[in-house]
Amino acid sequence: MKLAIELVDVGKTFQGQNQRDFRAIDQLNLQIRDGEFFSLLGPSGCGKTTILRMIAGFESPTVGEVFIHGEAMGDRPPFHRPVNTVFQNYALFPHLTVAQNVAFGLEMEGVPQTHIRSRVGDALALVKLNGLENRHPRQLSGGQQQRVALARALVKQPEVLLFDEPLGALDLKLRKAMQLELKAMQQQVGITFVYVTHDQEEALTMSDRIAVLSEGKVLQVGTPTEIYEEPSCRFVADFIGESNFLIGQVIEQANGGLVVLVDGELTLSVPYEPELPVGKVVTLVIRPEKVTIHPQTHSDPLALQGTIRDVVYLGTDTRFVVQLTSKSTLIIRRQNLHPGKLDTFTVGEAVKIRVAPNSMRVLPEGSLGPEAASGVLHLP
Amino acid sequence: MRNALTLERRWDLAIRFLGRVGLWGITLAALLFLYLPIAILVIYSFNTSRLNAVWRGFTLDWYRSLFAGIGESGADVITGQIWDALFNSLWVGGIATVVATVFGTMVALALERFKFRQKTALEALLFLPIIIPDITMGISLLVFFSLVFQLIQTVTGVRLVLGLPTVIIGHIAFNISYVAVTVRSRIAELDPALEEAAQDLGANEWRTFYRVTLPLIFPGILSGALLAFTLSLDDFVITFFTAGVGSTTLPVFVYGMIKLSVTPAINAISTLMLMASFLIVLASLALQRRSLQL
Ligand SMILES: Nc1ncnc2c1ncn2[C@@H]1O[C@H](COP(=O)(O)OP(=O)(O)OP(=O)(O)O)[C@@H](O)[C@H]1O
Ligand SMILES: [Mg+2]
Repeated sequence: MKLAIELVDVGKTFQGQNQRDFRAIDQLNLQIRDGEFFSLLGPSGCGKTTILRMIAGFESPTVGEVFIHGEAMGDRPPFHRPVNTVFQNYALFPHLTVAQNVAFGLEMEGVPQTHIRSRVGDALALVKLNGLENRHPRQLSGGQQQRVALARALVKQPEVLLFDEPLGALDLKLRKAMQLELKAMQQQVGITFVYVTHDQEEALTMSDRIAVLSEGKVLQVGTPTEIYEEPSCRFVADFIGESNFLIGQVIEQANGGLVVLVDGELTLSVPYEPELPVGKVVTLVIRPEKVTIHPQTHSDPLALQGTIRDVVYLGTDTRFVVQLTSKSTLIIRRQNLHPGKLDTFTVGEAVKIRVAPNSMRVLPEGSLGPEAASGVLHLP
Repeated sequence: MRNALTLERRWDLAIRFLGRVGLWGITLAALLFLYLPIAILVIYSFNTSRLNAVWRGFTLDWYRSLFAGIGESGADVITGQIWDALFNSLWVGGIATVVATVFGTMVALALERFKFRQKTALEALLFLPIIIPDITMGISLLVFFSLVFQLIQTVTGVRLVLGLPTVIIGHIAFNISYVAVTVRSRIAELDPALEEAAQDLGANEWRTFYRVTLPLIFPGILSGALLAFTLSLDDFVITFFTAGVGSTTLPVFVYGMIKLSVTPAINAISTLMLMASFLIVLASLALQRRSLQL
């Protein structure tokens, strides 16, 4: 399979003030395939922009190498790299008109004027900006400026387009619309998109694959489904969507499954293949929408007993906080399919909770807090 | 309670009123203070009397005498000297402005662009000519020139003297600082992402500079150049120390003349210069506004 971009053992250390160095990126390895929509997702300050800038050529890695289409970039300047960037605040040239902004990159390539005119027209049509050619950037709305920035990069027909939180400054509705449009456009033009965002929902909606980053390291790379359904660590599970974490100890492993003791009193069975020693502390990740609540009358031998602590109506769903018989609580989300009828659970009510075994994910990590000491399994 | 409140409120209003009147009053007084002398100068340039003290009646003679002097033999000697001094001033101002603007802009770009250890020290050095008294600068330039001239004489045998070139060099020296500081403030406002965007789109460093950086900092360069020109036309002290025979600029000439006899021709030429400055400032404002709109 052809790789658009490859980062091999890339590290970046910034020289800080007072001779203190700051390692922003550490031993980073990434492989971005040709033609895919690849997102870099992570909290603020995790190094997303730094990675993008190293690909674009604005920063050079302290160690390691960036390859674009198999070619080592070394210290090659930005103007000799086959990538273009859509900047966070658009960085449109204020002294040039929309058409001149879009034409800029072609002029630098030495494309003849007649070709420039038609290609600029095509690019502006692609982003639906015809008729605004002679405006200046400050005469445009934020969304229109965003489109000009996109057209300016697209018109160069680069092999890779880099985006640094391009929708960050737009309002929610426009952002959602632009997400879909960008995704459609990417499929239409077939260019590799590398997309930086800290918005997990945005990454899930648009990406073919996502790399989740934290403190300069890649934690997990995968499709949106993989990232959401099979998070590789607690950080990813916590950062992408909402998660419940139950910490427990393995008491038994048999038939491709684990029996986990939570809080020293609840036993939960989960499917899990890899070998784990008995007594090993594990974290169970449970997505709020995968737990169901039933009235006390519900007769399911596997259901857990709980008490409603909080009910919050969120429009599309209702969010419950349920206290289990142990000290743990679970957050549960339920879609409001039949409003009024099902929202009858009230705070303080005793309910039954059902967690399907295959909707729990086992992470072989975590530690028992000191307060859990009484519940620790004593091994023979 | 109600009464107390209204009293307090009235007190507030009174203070606000006083504050407003006071502020406006002081502003007006300051403007009067600034412009009254200039207005008097302009008015007396139309005075029939040779004395600035009394108003005798309206005349354009002084202006006429200024222009009658051009090129005509037998013209008023003083008038001829005024014109010589004015041309000296314009020459010095023009050349010093062009050179100082180029160098000052380059210094500003270097300071903004490069990171090096002694940057703060260099910045302080750059500010210094603005802060140190003109008299110090004038004397140091004089000492410097005489040292250099001596050196040249011992080496080549050529004897150089103070003249227009030394005045111009002196003016360039202090103007570079003003231009650099003015241009720098403009560069500081420049979003670095714009230059990166240009490079990203395939512009090398040079094309990035003249297609993006230069147009965007041009208003700053223009302001710097105008400031330099004005300061140059204005300068007395440094010129006084670096000028030689035949390189008298207008301010130095006027100063010398006042000691002998004041002729309202001075008022007339000052008024003309004032109008020229106004026009330059207006033009630059218009240019800046246009460059902002573009
Ligand atoms: N030029 C620099 N000098 C020193 N430190 C820097 C520099 N650029 C970035 N850093 C540091 O490197 C880390 C990563 O920065 P980066 O801009 O890549 O974060 P980010 O993931 O893009 O964050 P955000 O989502 O807030 O934009 C941060 O801690 C930042 O302070
Ligand atoms: Mg960033």
